Amino acid sequence: MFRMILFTQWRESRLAVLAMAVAAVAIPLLSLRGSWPSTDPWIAWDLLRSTAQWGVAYPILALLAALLLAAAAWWPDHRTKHVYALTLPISRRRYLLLRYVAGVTFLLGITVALIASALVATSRLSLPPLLHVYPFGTGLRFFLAGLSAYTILFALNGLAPRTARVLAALGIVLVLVSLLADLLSLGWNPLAWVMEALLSPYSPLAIFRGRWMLIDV
Amino acid sequence: MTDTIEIRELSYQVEGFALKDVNLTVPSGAVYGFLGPNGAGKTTTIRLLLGLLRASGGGIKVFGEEVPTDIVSILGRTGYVPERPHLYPSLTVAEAVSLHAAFHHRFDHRASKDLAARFELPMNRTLSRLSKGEMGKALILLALAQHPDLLVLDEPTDGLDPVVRREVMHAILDYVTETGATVLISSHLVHELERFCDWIGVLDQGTIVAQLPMQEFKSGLKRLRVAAGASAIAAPFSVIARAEAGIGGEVWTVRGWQPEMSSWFDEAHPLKEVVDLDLEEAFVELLRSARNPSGREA
Repeated sequence: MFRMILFTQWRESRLAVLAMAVAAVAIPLLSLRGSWPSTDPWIAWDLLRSTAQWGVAYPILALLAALLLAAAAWWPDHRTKHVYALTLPISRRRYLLLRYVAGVTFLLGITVALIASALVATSRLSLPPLLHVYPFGTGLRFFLAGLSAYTILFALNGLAPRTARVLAALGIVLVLVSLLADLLSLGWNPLAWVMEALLSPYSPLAIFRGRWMLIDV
Repeated sequence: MTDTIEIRELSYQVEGFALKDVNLTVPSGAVYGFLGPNGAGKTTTIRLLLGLLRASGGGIKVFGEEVPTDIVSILGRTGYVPERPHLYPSLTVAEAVSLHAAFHHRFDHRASKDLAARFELPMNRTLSRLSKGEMGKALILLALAQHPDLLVLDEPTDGLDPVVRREVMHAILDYVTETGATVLISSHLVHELERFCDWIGVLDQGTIVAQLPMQEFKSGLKRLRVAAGASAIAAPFSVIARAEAGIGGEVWTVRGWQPEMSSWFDEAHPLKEVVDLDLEEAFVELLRSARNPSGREA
């Protein structure tokens, strides 16, 4: 059962998954490309700066992967107005779980690609003293960030069209009110409040905050 | 005989349309033709039956189990062919079969192969590239191969050419003959159902206007050619439509007719002819009388 759900989701998302996997392989390699070969090590400062610059790409990739996987999870059912899914002899809760886990499986695949690439990229480095590589830490963080975003987007994507429209309308109103408040110099910005709340230390999306360092002290 | 489907006082309302106190009973083993003009509420009733929509009132039982409470168990024994294709278009026919088989524990792979060969389905073609006829056959293949006790077919042959239509209907009939499964088939193609169904229910504007065995429906409905001036008051049958027909004659469409009733007409206003109505004519007359009850004379 799960195998077939995984297969249908693969059919819809294979290009996106492959593109994400390629990006996951590319980012660690590109971020350290100047530090090879190991006979000519960078000084610590340059290495940290390069790692920090490329570190921005990890959360972006995690968010993008989450977005595409969440869309792909629902796309076959949205296209068929959910009739096929709802006439399968399986509880809705179980069906949702199958679809959700299929998306997580692909996210895991992308994460494995990222860790493998990070391991290869860092294995060829001759690190200056006091610096360490974190391929597994970066991979785990990437997976958890992707998982948090995927969970939220999967839930949003699965909403009834009417609820989704209401949420979209609220989002638009929020942006417009924020723009207006900014134009009138009112000194408050509801969009900033929402973003702050979403990325607060207590939010599941807090994992996106801060620096993503493949190499750090 | 027990009933596979029992619908009691079913109500459902959306903007501009309502099902009102629908009562419908499908006996086990019956091939039940669910007739009605477009927009009558057939598809809505079927969607309620399969738990795709929530009723605002009344109750539905299938195999003695409640909808929607026991819907998972019910769907495990029910093959469904919707009005519009509902399969994932990016899959090939073979992949759609595998997906369907993974969820239906009674799926018969041998029957699936036999039907695929019988229908000459291109198994490696994606569903999005199938012709309308091929898609219709693929839907029937999936519904039959899951070996259901109940088949719910919502306009299964709508838009198909006569050859494909015949192939599909024969496959359904073969399955029913072999397994004794119950069939609920909705259609507005009245002629198609006439040959296959042993029960019919007629839905119009969200209300059931008739429900009876096919034989009874067909035999009791007649068109009588009578002399002008005859009164239908106190007739042993009911007149559902009455119209002038040339000089000195009238045509009555009646229900509940028996051959011995011809003696009811007197010599002054004799019965000239009794004409059998086919299902389509009977259906049209039934709808006409249901929509315009004041046109009747009893």
